[in-house]
Amino acid sequence: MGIEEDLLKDEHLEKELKPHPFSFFSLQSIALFLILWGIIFGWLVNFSGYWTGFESFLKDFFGSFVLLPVLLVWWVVTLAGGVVLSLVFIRWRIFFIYIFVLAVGTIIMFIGGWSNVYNVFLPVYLICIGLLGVFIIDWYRRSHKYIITNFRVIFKGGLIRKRERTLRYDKITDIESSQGILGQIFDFGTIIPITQSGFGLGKDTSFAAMGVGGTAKKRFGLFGIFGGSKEVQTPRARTYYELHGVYPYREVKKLIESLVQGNVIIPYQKEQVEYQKEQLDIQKQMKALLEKQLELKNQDEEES
Amino acid sequence: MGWEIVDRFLFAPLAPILGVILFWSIQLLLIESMKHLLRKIWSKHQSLCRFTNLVGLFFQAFSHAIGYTITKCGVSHFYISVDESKVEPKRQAKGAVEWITKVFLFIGPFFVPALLIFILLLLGYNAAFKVPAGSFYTFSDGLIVFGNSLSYFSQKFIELLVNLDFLNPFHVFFLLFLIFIGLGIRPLYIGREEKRKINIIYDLQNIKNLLSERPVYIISVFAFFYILYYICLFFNLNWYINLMLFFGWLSVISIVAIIIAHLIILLVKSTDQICPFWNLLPYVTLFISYGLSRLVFYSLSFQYSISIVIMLISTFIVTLFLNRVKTNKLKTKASIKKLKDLEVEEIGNRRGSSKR
Repeated sequence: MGIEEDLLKDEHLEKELKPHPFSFFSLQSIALFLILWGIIFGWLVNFSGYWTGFESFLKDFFGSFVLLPVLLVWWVVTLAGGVVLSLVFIRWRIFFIYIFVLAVGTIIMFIGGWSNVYNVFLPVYLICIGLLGVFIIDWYRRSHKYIITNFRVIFKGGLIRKRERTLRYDKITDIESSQGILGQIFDFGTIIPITQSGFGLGKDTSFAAMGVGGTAKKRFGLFGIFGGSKEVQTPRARTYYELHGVYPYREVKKLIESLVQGNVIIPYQKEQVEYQKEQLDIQKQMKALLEKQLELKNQDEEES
Repeated sequence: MGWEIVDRFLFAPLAPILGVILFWSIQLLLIESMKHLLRKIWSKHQSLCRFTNLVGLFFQAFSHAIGYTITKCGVSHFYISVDESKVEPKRQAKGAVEWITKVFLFIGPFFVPALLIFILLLLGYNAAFKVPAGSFYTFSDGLIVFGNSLSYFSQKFIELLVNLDFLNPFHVFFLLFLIFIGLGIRPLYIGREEKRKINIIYDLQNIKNLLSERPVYIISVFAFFYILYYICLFFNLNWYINLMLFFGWLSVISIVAIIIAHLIILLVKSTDQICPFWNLLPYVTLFISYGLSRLVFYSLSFQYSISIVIMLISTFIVTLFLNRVKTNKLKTKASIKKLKDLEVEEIGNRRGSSKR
């Protein structure tokens, strides 16, 4: 479907944008970690001199069955990466995705009879999953489309469920824009338009809790939790509801600012509108007076 | 005999100091050359230039912050972006303390990035750091001992680099880190336009101001080195030369890192002149030639070094060849050049006639 079909009467396209390829780097780092660890693990198991020593050390404990400790290293390092990424992005689902990936990999290896070539299977599996992740994230990025017209901004996005948001410039109250390190290097950034209804605002919550526990003489128990939380409102929206990672950042920002400015009534215009309202009221009053006069005249005529 | 005493007590302490200054000057010249190269590729590779700006500014801000921390001024504000960096102290320094923070600001960025590589080498390859065996008692001996020690380190460092195994992820990370450092030893800013003409003259001007503003401090620094030398003369003279060698090592590391960064930027610049699609070939050659060399020379003990040499030579030849063959030939055609000259001449004539 062409963009023209989305446009209204007298509406024309100002710019059509997509997020910059590096704008989803934070998501891609989840997949990139798997690729990187896959490469290092492959090198460690197959080519490194360190591993030979480690393997002979393992053989002293596990005999010829060295697959178990190898698998343990594979799981532990991947999960450690998962924990770090989950904490950085404050999303525990990353950790669970990693568990799922590792579990599936382990099952495939044993069911498919690949356990005797574990040194090839495990790193290749991680690299393949990482590459798949990179492709899916890029596919998701490509699903985004931001259409800037002279009337409004249309946000589109979503892989399976297609989402769309239309925002008229006169409804925008604030514009929040940000540029990360990669954004500064590659000249892209995120612009969040905040509406009167508060769309485009999120909350940062921090929580602190303290627990006290203890038992006295077996029978008595004491336990208490004290806690508190703080909330700060911050501009935040889904990537398909904001201008995420748009390039060139400054140009787009300036365009949005000017379009918003163009739709805001400036004080002089406001004065003019008030004046017109007053004039309209006077005209209405005059009309009413004339009608009344006409009525009176008619009455006089009837009486005479 | 009288002259020897003067040499021993007056000139000998200066030898390693002059050695350090010499290497630092080479570093400064190389930085200027890299800045010149980066400015040439700015229009086509703004992202790369912004990245180098960011790294350079980060090290500059970091050095500045270290200066404030060491002098107990504290850091109240730390900000870096691709365009500027800002470090503000908690309390304003005055006198000698202010001077020391300025030393960190102007000289720190030349040595702090190399210090990171130095720490890595110390942890993983400490064989490169050989303490000089002989002591020195004259200016010329001092220069020889200093030069020999640095030459030994340089040799070992180059040996390490040419024996890097690019199939080993840790070696690749080390090289990438070295390139990163090489791009960052440049506390100068490449802007969109040459608004801020910050160059070698600006740097030297700053350092000159630093020295001339407070001559007492610079005399104190020299006095410190002389006193240190005299103390070491009685105990162990190696302490003195080792301190100077430390700065020499940092300079050598910086110089090597900048040269490697130069090679990368030169490759980028050369491929810009080649027509699209073909300009990827030098990069492909870089990887393929290395991989093939490793396969061919698998059984040899010097497989790593020969592979790197072949990789460099083949990439150089391919780039040179493509530059000759797969570039816009019209630019080099004599007739076109003539036409251009004529146009320039015509414009000049028109200007001349309008003035008259």
